[in-house]
Amino acid sequence: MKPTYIKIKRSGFKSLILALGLVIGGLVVVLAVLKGIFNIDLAFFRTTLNLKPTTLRLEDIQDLEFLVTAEYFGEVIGTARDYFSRRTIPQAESLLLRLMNSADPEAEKLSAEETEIMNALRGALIKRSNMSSRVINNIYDLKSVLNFARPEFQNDRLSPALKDLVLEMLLAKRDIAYLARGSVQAGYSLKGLAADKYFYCPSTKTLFLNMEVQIFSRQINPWFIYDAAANNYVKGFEIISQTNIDLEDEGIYDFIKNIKEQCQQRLADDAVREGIKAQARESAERTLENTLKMLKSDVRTVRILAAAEFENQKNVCPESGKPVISSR
Amino acid sequence: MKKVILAAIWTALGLSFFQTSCARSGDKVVILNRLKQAAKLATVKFTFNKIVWGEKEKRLFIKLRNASFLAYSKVEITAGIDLAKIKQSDIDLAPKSIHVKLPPVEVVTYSYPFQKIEVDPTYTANRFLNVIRVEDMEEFLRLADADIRKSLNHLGIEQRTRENTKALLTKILKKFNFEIIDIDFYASPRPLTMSVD
Repeated sequence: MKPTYIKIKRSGFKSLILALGLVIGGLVVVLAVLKGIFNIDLAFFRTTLNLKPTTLRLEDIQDLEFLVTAEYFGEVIGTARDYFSRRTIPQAESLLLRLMNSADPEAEKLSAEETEIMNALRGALIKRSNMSSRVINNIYDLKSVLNFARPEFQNDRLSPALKDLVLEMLLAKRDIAYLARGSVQAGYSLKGLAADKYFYCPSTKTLFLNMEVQIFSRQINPWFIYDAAANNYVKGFEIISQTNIDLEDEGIYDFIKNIKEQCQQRLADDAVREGIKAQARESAERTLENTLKMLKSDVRTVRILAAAEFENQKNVCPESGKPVISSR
Repeated sequence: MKKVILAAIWTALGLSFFQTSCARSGDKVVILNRLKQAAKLATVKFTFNKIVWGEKEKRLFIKLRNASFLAYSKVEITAGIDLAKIKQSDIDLAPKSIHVKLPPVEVVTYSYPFQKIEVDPTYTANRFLNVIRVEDMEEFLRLADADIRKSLNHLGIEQRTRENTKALLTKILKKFNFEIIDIDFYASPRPLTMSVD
């Protein structure tokens, strides 16, 4: 078998440059393969993120009297699709209604978000018309756009087909999905516990309290768990997928915040659905019972009740109002 | 046959070359979507400002110009004590006096709210072949979060929380007709804890 040679018929210097180019090109391919297949960290391809040292400046200190009695740890997914369906589509419907009812739609001032919605609607109408030249030629005339949209806008709602197309247009512009992990805390504020909000019933040895359970915090931090001692790290926000997310785009940070807010709302909804409020009440009753027991109080049971039930119990217990610790 | 084998090798190499690297999930198991009972008395909330200033360094044989990221953020830390950790032996009762040794001060809630992170677009700058992507932004925020957590012990949280907790419990215990109320604390662990499990 004859060996194959590449003949380079050029002048000496040109040949040298070409040979050098081939060597560098080959080297790049080899290094890229090494990095791609074996994930070898190569100094010449390295990307590093460095945080510059900055200090923490105290802004405010606030006195609290919160009793946190239940916590929920959860994982949720927030997507741009969901955000557009829940927030942007209703916004598009109100915008269309406003413009259709306006005597002079051209004179209506649109926010940056509304302008984006109108652009998505224009794209959707073109697609819905199967690229009709009549629609394409008149798509920047607002009155025509409203006329094209009218048959698809019944009872102040977009038709499902147009809605899907608007969604598609919005997602084509930018799309992101986050997996988020965070916690929700619920309990009671002791600050609002006025004298008329509790009474002791000696016959049943029960302390009745009238307090409303509150969700104190619902947070998703950059790190869900950051435990250097145990070498345990779990991210708070993880990007599942993204398309066309350019941080130089106008309104992009608000868009990302909106998706994260959706995650936070979902987390709180999940906590409530899982029964965080009931858990907070039961846990508060147990905590107060134990604390009172340790203080050698007469109280054996603590009941936290809503206003109506609290008043009812007050009427049922004839000796309500006696001090909580009578024996001491 | 040789051609088939070669094709298979090239396909395999090609696939492994273009495959995206899959992030390995954390080795430790975290139980999520669960409720947990708690008994934490939160007595003080601190709000801190933190500037997140980072640079992205990239090399493509030569070092490219650094891309920069700047954001203003706030951290909210709620501290207090865990009432469930009080034992009967921590309480000395006399008819008109009480001595309580309270559990150590701990962080009840640590919040680095994304709503309060304002990226400064003027100083967040992309460079040729070196752009700040959304993944980089998230990583900068994680680095900042880690940085804050590392400095929790040096923020004066413990002293102020002790004072507030003492004041609140004295107010409550006075309602139980105690005349002498003596409250002290167990030493806080280092670093200040934020229990998740």
